[in-house]
Amino acid sequence: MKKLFRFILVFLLLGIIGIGVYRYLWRPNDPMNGQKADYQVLVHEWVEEFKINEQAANQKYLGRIVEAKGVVREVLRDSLGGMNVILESGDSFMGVNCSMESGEVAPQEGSDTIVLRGEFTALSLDVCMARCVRISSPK
Amino acid sequence: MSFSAFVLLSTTCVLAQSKYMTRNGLIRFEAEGPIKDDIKAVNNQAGCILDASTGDILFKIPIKSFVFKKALMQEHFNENYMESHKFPTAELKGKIEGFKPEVLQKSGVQQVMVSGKMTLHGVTRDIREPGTMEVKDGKILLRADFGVALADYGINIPKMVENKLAKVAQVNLSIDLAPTGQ
Repeated sequence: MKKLFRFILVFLLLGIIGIGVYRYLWRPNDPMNGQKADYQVLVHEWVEEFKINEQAANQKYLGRIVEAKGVVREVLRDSLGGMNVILESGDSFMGVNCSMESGEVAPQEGSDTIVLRGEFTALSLDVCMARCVRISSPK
Repeated sequence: MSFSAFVLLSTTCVLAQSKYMTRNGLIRFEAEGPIKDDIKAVNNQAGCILDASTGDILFKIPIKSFVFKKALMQEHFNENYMESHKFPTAELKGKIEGFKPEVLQKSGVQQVMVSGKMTLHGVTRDIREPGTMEVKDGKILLRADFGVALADYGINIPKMVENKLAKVAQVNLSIDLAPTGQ
């Protein structure tokens, strides 16, 4: 009886560890909704930071969660159904390019000021953020 | 390329109607080894500018914008392989060979060859890859599939995962360029 009890206990423990390891290895990216922002920025000021010193700005923000506040300049769609929201920076060319999480509702171009939270990934043609979500009010 | 040089090019693009660009170019890659582990990712933030008077082309791709299904795989990709904290972007600066502005008047899919210098993981190498170009609804659609040998760019595969990871990553590029004046 004791042996059987031990066997069941070991079996359960191994099962729990196995499930834990499996869930760790296969976990999806943490939803951006539940994450706390490292920085809250106004889009025009943020873009200016990159113009002044790209290297320093990259170092400061790379991989960080940023909440960027600005007006929607453009909403772009790609052939896989992905959506990018470009926030107006006041610069005639460069803006903040937010690749949106799937399921996010497209904001209206030229709409009121919105706040998008995402991970800063690099400066390309724009200041880029990935896995962005729209938040109603900045934390 | 420094930001100022990029802005200079970008500004020139805004002024000249012969420039085409995108901010949401699509790049997919797959690097599955013999043991299948769903090693693929998508990036929809590739920036690209084409000078349609010369065929000069420039790509800039934020590495951290590649999104994987598995968070752990994305972490390994950024931290262990691409070292995106040191090398946040990949770049391709080149030319569509034999490009003449007249080709934009042709309908249908045309075969093209792009050559230039690609910088990935801090290593710059000459590349020459075939692709297609199509002019549709005022846009230039560029498509290409090519392989990138990881070792060529100093990306080392640890012994432990060499059966999971391909030595050559397959890259698919889908870029829709619109005139900058629009």
